[in-house]
Amino acid sequence: MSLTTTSPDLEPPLSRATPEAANADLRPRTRTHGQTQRGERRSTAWLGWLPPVLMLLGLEGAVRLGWVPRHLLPAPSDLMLTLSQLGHEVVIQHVAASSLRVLIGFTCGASLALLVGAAVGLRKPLEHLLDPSFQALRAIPSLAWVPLLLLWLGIDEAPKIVLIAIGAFFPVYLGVSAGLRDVDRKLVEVARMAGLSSTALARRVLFPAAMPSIMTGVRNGLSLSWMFMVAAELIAATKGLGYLLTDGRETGRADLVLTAIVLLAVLGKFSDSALRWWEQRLLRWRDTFESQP
Amino acid sequence: MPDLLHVHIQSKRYGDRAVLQDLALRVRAGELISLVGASGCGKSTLLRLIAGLDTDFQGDIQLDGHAVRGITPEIGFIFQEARLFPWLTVAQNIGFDASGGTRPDARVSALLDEVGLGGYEDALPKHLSGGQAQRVAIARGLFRRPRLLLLDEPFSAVDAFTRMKLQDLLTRVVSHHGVTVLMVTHDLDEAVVLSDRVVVLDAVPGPVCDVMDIALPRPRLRDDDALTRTRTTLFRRLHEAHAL
Repeated sequence: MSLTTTSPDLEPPLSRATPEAANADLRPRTRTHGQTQRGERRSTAWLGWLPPVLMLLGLEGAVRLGWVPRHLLPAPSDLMLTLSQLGHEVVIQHVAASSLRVLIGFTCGASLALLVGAAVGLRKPLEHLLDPSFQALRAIPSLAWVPLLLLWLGIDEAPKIVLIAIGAFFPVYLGVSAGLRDVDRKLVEVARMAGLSSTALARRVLFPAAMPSIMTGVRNGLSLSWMFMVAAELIAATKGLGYLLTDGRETGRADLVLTAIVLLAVLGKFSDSALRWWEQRLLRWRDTFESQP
Repeated sequence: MPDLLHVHIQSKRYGDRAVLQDLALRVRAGELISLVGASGCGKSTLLRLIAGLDTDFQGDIQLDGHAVRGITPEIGFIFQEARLFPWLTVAQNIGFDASGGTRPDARVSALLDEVGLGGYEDALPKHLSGGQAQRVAIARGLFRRPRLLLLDEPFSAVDAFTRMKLQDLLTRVVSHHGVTVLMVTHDLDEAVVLSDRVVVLDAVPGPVCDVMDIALPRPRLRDDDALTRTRTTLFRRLHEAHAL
């Protein structure tokens, strides 16, 4: 039981320990393991290009060999042709129209969600008051809103923006309110011991701690915004990628439809990558498998 | 020496269950006291009441003759886990206080040097080992110059060697800063090496079961036979008190 009965080399009395041994727990954690992981990740990152490139090559070959009817599934080279036939300006016009709608709708919806989510996450009575209703509204499919918005707001820009804002609202709301609600009580106690007021607590502890959840909500909100944008533009629009889809269907041009789809994929991926880059900078402190140096 | 802390808890309940009852405790200024007792006997609860983290109890707590109810900068708390804010650097964690400033503070660097982590100002908590994180927590506990420092099993989550180093560190900084310490521990060796007095709490809510003075000279060496004998005595007294 006593320390003296154990071997002295196993448990050196501290007062006599060498300085080196005394500082054993001061050495920074070894990082060799992390470095190998990083090296592997770098060497395999290009694999993400493999499926799309192989698919495009396969498709091109299949169409050229006549295995697939060209008018139903055009080859990638045909899509490039369609894109150039549409013309630089027209493509940019459609992309810009859609992107602008997403940008405005997403900004409105996400900002509102940030405010409401914060209120609900920070105040229990507000959560009890509002959360059940929001959960019910969240369950409504996007297309169900369209007739109502058309009736109320006409066929102008307003219903499209509102529909996109609705799409962005719920994921962000959920991310903010759940993130704030789930902050570790232990960290809150530290902040309370430091004498923080409730506003300082929210600003300096609750929001930073909820940031991972908030960022996940923002990214989901953005991707839903793109989806709701297409739903909005399918109904009544004269420009935008959703309009291009409708136009292609009405004129029986699969190449036009596919071009619009590819543009949507590229835009969605691009905007999500931008957010992800921002998220990783903002949450550099996270101790996750991914962020190990 | 004058008393720094007077605690008298008439009753503290969680629902129907009484956790503390008719418990009185005095801590003299400059003393290091260990609280030991069976798991669930209310040691941690007592610390939380003194810290002001929980004000839902009957009784009164006086610091230097003044009643305290709620959180005061004069009482600091070091938890079982380091509880560092992962998004703040080591220096920002130590200097975290109500003022909200993130200015570089010479005191933060001095404290870091003192806990043996000089040069770690800008490190993030994820890059620290468990022992290092607890050193930062100790520095943070001292930053606001508390008169009384409460520790809740501060070294129970680290390995035995690191624990001994941290115990020595605690002894050093406590005497340097002249802070009074009330510490909950499960480790009898720790209680004997660190404390001036060991207070034994009963498993059943009630008055303090036993108080044992540890009259050993400092610095205390872990391979000292007197230390071992004291530890054995403490063990027997705990056993007699049915606190084990």
